[in-house]
Amino acid sequence: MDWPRANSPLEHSTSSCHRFTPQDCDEEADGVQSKERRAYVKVNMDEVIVGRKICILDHGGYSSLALQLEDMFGKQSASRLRLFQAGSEFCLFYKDREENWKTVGDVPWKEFVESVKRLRIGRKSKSLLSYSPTFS
Amino acid sequence: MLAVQKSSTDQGSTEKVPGGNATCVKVSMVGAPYLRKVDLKNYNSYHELSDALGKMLSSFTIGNCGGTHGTKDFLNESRLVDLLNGTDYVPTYEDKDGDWMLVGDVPWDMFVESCKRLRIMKGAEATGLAPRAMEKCKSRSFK
Repeated sequence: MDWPRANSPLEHSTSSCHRFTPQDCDEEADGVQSKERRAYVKVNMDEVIVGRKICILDHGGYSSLALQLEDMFGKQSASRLRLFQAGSEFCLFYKDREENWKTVGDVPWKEFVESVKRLRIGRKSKSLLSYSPTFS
Repeated sequence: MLAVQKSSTDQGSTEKVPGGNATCVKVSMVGAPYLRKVDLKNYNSYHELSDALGKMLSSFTIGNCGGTHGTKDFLNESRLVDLLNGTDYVPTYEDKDGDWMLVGDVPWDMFVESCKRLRIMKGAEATGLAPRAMEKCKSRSFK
């Protein structure tokens, strides 16, 4: 089966662990692992059952993020996603650490990276207010 | 014709741990007459899991070995070719939050921790064109 290849920065982290004591290694690995776990956020698109996961740290800005999402979900629409572009049918939302859904792009990238917990691609025709969170 | 390939690994792992194992997950496939189970701890990568699932799911062609008539009908040769080539079959998993995700996006260890169940979907099912399939999937009590 042709599955997407996942980046495995974790492998690099654990390999450098061997220089430390076993206890340090566990703490180091745990710290790295939990940070990495937070870096992976779920992405869902309206009306698409299967979600994806992306590593937010792979990106340096919104345009890079938009490119990856286009690659992952662009085929779901004949007009493609064209996120952040005028005339696009779709809008990108994110859930922050306070569990609030917001529009992606309003805050500086670094601030976004620190607060994003989850992403959702929705149609602009549906407002956030009418959005009933199927995804928790 | 493919011979039956019974993977003793998954069956052995489920028998070994009477109380159940957090890494043992059910594998379902659209149209398959029954489920299988795998212990994700037996694999170290997506590649290994993919190989194992490929062999496991090809065992549905057990018509030559006295399988039931229904099982033989399930997977004719052309669909089997599709399966083995990975075309139109989408490997997905249900995570601990109950969300269905595409297999392969996160590092292997992270996947093993969060995977609750595996399902090989058809393309249409995965893109949401067959939403009823997911409702059936969620509400069905697997035997």
